[in-house]
Amino acid sequence: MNNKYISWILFTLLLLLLLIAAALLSLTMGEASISLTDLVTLLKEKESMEYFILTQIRLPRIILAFSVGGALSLAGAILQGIFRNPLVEPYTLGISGGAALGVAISIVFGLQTSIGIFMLPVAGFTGAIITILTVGILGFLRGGTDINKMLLIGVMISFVASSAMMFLMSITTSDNLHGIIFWIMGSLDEPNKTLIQITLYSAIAGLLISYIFARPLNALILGQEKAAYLGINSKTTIRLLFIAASLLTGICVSVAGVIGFVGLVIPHLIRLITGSDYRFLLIGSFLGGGLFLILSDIVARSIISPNELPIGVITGIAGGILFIIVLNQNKNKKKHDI
Amino acid sequence: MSFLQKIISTIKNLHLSFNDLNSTKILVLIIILTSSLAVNAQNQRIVSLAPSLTKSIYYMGAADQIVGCTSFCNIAKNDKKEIVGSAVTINIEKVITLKPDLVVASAITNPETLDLIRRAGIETKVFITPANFEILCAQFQELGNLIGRSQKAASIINRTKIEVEKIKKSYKNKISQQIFFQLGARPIFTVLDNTFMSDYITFSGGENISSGLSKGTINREFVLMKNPDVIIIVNMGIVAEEEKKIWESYPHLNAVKNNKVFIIESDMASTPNPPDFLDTMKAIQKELQ
Repeated sequence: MNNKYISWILFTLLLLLLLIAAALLSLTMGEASISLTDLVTLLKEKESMEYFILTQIRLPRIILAFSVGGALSLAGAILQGIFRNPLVEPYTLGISGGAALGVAISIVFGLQTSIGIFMLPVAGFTGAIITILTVGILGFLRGGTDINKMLLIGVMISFVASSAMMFLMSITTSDNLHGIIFWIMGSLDEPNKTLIQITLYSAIAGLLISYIFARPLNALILGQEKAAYLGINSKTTIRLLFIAASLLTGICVSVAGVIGFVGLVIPHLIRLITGSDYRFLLIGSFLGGGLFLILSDIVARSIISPNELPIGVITGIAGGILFIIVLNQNKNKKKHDI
Repeated sequence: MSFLQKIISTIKNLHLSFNDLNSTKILVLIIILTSSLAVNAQNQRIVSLAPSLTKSIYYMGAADQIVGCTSFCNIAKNDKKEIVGSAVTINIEKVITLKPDLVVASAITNPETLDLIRRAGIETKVFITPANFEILCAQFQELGNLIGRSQKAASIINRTKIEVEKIKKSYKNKISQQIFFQLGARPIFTVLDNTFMSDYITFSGGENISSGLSKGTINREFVLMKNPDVIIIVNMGIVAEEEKKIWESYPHLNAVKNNKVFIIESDMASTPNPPDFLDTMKAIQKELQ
């Protein structure tokens, strides 16, 4: 086994350890004071309020943070690979815009009051799917896979969706405004277990599926033509991966709202640390994204406790600053390539 | 409303008839008439930029003085008033061409918009969200004075205060309850001290679990730890029913054990005026007893 594999394994173990530590830390943070040593004893007291808080409030939230962070970061890594563009993130393709528009329409027209509990996630997901289909169909038109065209269409859909949303916000009541604005900021407060399970399973499925394409993704870095010489069916690869990444993003956005920056910053950070080999990048991004969002959630919950900050505020500020620092430290070590 | 009608309505408000007029009463009547007409003459045409203020003006029986309102002034929907804007965007040109004497607005209206209207020579008045029931009544009176309905406003306020006192008394010998008053979800938003809505809690003999907080966004764990005896949810652009179900899935909450998780209509509870305040107090009383 050469050094590369050993460093990958060590780094994975490190990420896993950090994940466990972050999860434990998150379990002990909150209004109810529960220390690490309490955790063990509390697990036996199934009737207590603390047990309820741990299992029904904190744990689901950690799982959701891990799934959403992992999935968004994974989607970012995949999309940056197939578009060969370092600025692409899950939201560049208009998926978040489409989802947000779906939610805004459902709030403004009061659909959620008539249909009920699942309406906002369903509306968000519908918006995301419509965007994906539009970008996909136009991009894959006439059997081609014009990735630059897809990228531009995605960006344009983002603009159209955000303008349409501003239009809706300008004609609606202040009550609805409140609902839309806070939805856009993103939140991990999701008491519905089914939605959390769906997110977790999709995130894991996304990782497994994309891992099958780790080698084709490596080849795609060279460009579609050269990948074809290496025996890669680049069209099929790009299409399948595009659909997988988009669906992951759509699910995350519809459950947790718009949580920016995870999908852009984390894959780049992992790349800077371990290089661009997708065989590791996919796993690293997944674990790193999950870790980052769990940590961000701890900050969001505790910084002005008992008040809570929107999670998107933390990911944007912390992610951006962290990235600039790491990028500057690395500038002499190796060229940041994609 | 014609000049004659106005005099008659003023007299009606005074509970006088022409038969029992004596000299003092005539003097009082003349003073009131001249003062109210002087205000009336100024503010015949009103544009309201806030649904809550439109509602107040309707309660004072001055609906026909409104020449323009927003698309969310539901109370004016059937009266075919000119629409001058929505919650945040106001068509300034339209406001000005309606030639109002007075434009009333809430704090949500952009100050620059109001500034421009003022520069067009139109009187504007902004009513910020009242910090308690007393200020709420004072604002109602101030609005009444501005539109020449001081009598009507005063009588509404008096009636409301009497009723509210009655409700307050009904809680007097009861044990104080911890109340959580929820305004929104994702994130959960709570009623804070120094808002007229916190008076719903204190007047109902309760204590606000969020008392002492300075920001309204809180998380579920905070509510669980405070363990309120009552949870009141106001529907603000979110599904109140859904929130109710979520709370009811937490068996440790006293409010759930007591079966005291209920929903209050937002249009009523979050609109600052005496009649709606009273209706909200009544709705809460019905649920608590």
